[in-house]
Amino acid sequence: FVNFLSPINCNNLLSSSSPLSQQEVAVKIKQTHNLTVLLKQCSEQLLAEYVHHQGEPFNSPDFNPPAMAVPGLPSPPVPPETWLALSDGERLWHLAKAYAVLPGLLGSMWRQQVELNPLASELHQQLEAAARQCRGLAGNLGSIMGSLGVPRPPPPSPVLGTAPASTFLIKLSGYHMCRLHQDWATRSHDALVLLGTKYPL
Amino acid sequence: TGWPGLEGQGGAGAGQFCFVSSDLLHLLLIPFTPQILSLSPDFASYTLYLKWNDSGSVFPYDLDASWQIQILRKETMETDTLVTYNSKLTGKDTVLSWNWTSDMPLECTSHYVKIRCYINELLFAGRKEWSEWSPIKTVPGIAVVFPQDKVVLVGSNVTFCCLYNEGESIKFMKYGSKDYPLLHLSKWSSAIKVENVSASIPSGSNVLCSLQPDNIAGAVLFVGYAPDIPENLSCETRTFINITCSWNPGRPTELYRQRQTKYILFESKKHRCDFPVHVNQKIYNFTLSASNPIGQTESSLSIDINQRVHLETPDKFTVSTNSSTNAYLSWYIPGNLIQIRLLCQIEISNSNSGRQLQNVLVTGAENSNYRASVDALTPYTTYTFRVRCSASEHFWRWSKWSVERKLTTLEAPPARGPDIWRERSPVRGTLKIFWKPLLLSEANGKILAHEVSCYLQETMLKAHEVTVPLNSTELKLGGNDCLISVVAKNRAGSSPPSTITSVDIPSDNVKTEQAIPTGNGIYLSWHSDPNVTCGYTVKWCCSTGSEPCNVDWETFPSNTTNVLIKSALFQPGVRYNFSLYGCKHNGYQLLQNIVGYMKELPPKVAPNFTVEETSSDSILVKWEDIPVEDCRGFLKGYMLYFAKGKRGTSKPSYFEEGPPEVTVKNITDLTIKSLRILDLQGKTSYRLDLQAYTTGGMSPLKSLYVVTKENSVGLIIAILIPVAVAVVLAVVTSILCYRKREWIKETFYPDIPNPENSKALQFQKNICEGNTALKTLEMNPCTPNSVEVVEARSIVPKIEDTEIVSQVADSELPEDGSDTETENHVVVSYCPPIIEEEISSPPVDEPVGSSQVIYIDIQSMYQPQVKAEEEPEINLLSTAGYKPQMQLSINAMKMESQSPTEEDLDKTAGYRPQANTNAWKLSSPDSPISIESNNENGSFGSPCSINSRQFLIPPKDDEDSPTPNNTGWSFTNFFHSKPND
Repeated sequence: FVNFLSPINCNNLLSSSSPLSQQEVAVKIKQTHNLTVLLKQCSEQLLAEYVHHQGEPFNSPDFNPPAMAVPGLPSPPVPPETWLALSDGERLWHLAKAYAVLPGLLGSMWRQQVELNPLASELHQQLEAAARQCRGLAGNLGSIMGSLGVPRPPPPSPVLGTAPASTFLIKLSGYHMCRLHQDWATRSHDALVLLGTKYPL
Repeated sequence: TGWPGLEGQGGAGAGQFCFVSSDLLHLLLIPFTPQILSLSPDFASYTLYLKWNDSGSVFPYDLDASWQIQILRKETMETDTLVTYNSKLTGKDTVLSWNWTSDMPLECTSHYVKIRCYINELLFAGRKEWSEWSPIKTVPGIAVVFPQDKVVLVGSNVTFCCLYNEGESIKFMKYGSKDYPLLHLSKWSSAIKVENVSASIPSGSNVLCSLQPDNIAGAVLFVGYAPDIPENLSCETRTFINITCSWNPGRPTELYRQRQTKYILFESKKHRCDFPVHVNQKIYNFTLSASNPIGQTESSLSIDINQRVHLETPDKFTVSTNSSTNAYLSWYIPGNLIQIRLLCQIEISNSNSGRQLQNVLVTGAENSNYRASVDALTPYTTYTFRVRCSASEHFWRWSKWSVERKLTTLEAPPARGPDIWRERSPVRGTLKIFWKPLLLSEANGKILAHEVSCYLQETMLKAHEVTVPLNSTELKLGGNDCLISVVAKNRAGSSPPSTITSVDIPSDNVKTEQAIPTGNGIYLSWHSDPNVTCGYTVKWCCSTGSEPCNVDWETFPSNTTNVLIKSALFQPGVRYNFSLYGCKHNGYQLLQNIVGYMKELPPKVAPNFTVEETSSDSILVKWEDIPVEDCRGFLKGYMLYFAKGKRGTSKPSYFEEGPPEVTVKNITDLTIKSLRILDLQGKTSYRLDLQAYTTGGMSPLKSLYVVTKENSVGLIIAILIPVAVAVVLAVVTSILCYRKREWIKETFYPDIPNPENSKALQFQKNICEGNTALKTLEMNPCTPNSVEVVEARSIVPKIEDTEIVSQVADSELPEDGSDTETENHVVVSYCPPIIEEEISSPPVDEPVGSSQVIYIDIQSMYQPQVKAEEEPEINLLSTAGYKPQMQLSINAMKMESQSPTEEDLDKTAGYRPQANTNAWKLSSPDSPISIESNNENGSFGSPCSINSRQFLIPPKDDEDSPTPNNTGWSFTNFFHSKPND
């Protein structure tokens, strides 16, 4: 399970071309599901830790800024309630597309926070861990999609636009980034739970 | 894309088509209103990205479609751009995308986008029209808060303004968590004023501008302090190559990274971090400037480099030795130190002697090793060394300590011979020699063996080597005495010999004394012996567990008379035997034996005691000594408690209820082993408790229960005395009676009774006043007559026969008298009076069943008339005259159980003699003679003294018949006359 978090293993999974057996697919799905459980928990912690270091009003419980697209990160295609109405292939396709860009975005967010909050070592560690976990999940998703014959999304295009100019926008975009990360983690978890029922161990 | 239709929200239900028809030619083809999937701006490139679904799956074949996209600006929705985009419907849903680049930054204003559709179906005959416009999608212009990312001093006042777009209105502005009142600057801008800002968190304090309908803007303010003047600026050189400066930045500025303090160090207008030492320059002037966005400060320092030498930590530190007392040290210090001399400090530490510092001066060199040696070390000892250095001429600072190095010096011969002692073994001619191991500081190495030899006038008789760890040996001397020598040996050599003579001077009359326990040792004292010239030796033996005891000894100078012996092996409550030897010119002599405790404890066990003898008033108790090992101290005495008490009673009451019941005897004479307890009560249980005590406390209690014997003598006396008294009284009475028999006879039993003298009958006078003639009463035999009652009234039980039977009392009383009486004849015995009496039938008004028998006896002669006339009927019981006690009790019982009606009372009154006045009157209303006769003496003299008359005997009355009318007259008289007394 831990091995899936290491980039080396993720690369191996991404490059694995030989189709897996039914049992191996089930094992892979189970392992990926475990990873999504961790990712879900960590994403919640990350959001809490993030807002803690940004100060008011970010850490206020009623802070709810209007949705803002994070440049480069695909927004979820459907609302959460209809997410499970999509086919397995569609869900995996969207997840793979999102997790192809999430590690990079989390990495740049980590750099911004090192600069902005140099003393928040816990936040830095969580951001690094989140990027690692997303890379691992992307690798696992690729492996599952390869086994199930689901077409993979095209490689992500370079992130459009430039970094936000003001500190406030850095904080705000980081906030949206954490929210989206949490949203995608929840969706990936739901998707893997459903997939796990179809490929039992 | 691989998965069309999933490109945006709302794609699933986007375009469908409907046909509106009136007739075929007037059919209208109006496509369903398309929906925009997404509209995203890229502010950097002024580009809008639009996505929508063509809903091509509605048509099963390919069609041409046209799309009109309208982009509007401002609230007035002025058309800025109208573009037509053509596509082909391919029978399946496809997400179409289109982008548009603005000629002005998108942030400048809000952009609104809508789209409509036209289907160019060539085969369709009717009219084709554009669809409705889709709902508008908006890209709001960017609202801005100013100032952005400003850094201000704590306590400043800051004004923030929020600029927003056309169509937006401001909801609120916050600084941190607090709302501030809005200052409306213009239609599209508002401001707040924040006063006295406090230091911000590292990521800065946030200003939030919330806008209607749904937009926010914000800014971050960093609040901190200007840098303090650098404190304690200090510059020094370590190697004479570079100068290093350090300082204390002072109060934190609360600003980080981009905004943190920047320091610049200047020397002669050059600024750099490390300054090289110039060969010809001794004085250096430094300036340190600190700056951050809030302010700037600076600090200066001028130094002479030779006085600011802080050497590097000594490196490559080694220690070595080739002797038992010396060590050689070597270390390396980098730097060009030719100009200075070094003062180095060597720290020598070991576990015994602690820490020692030794300074050495060495001449400086360039990147060189330095050496030093230390001496006066202890042989065979492990030392730890470390070193540090500084410039000796102008001391500035010590370098850091080098690493520590350990070294053990070489061995040397033991410094002295061991302490020795010897003892004659039980085996004849064998001497046991003991020695104590040397201290580490004396051994100078590892002791390998001890050489024991025996000299007789400088001639060695015997020698042998005993290896460690043995610390004793035996020598067979035969009959000889010799001088014993013991030498300790280690690898480096032998110690000087220790000697002791084997000669024992015989001693007599060796006393045994007691030592004083001190808690931490044992205090011994003795009388000085002038013949002791070479000291005293106290020897003892400490036993640990089951092993044989270890002989230990201590030697003291000749002038010593008291010592405190301490040993880690001493335990409290254990008896130790000490032997005091005096060393005289010709040998050792045992002077005294001493026993002692380090600390006295209470005896471990209770003394064993028994009851030897018991009598009625004493108990003889015997006890045994407590074994020495259980005493745990010098026995001081015994406490004996005794009190009344039985086995099984909960607790001895000695200590709780107090002394009244308990007797305590303290036996301090240890030679006494028995005790008689006196003055006890006979046949009583006693509880005895015995405990021994030492200075350390009381032993446990040992209890016994004893019952004293019965006091037989007392009992015999108690019986004999009353018997004797009775006998004596009887004898005296007999003698008196014998002597006065004439008088007694005359008085009490005259041959011819003289009524005048009859005291016994004297009282009768009182009763029958006026009848002085009545003196004696003679009972003449009564001739019984029988009267049978033949006439009976129907309501009255018949009395068929009346018989006067003297022993009527013997007959049983029927339980239900009324029934049985009716069946039986009633026989009344009576003695006919001298005067004839008439028996009259009872009057009609007489209560039913109240037939009565009237007895007239002596009593009734004197008493009834008086009483009967006086006492009312209600007191039937008291008026009933003579009533046997038994009957009375029955009456009493009946009265208790039922309500006593008069009738019942009549029935239960039982035997009622003449007391009943009614009866009396009724029975002889017209017989004054009888009354008269009662009153006359003449009637008494008659043979029959009882006038009895019966009318009817009711059943109950019959019960009363057992009246013992035949009892002795005197008794009857006595009882009846009593109330008259």
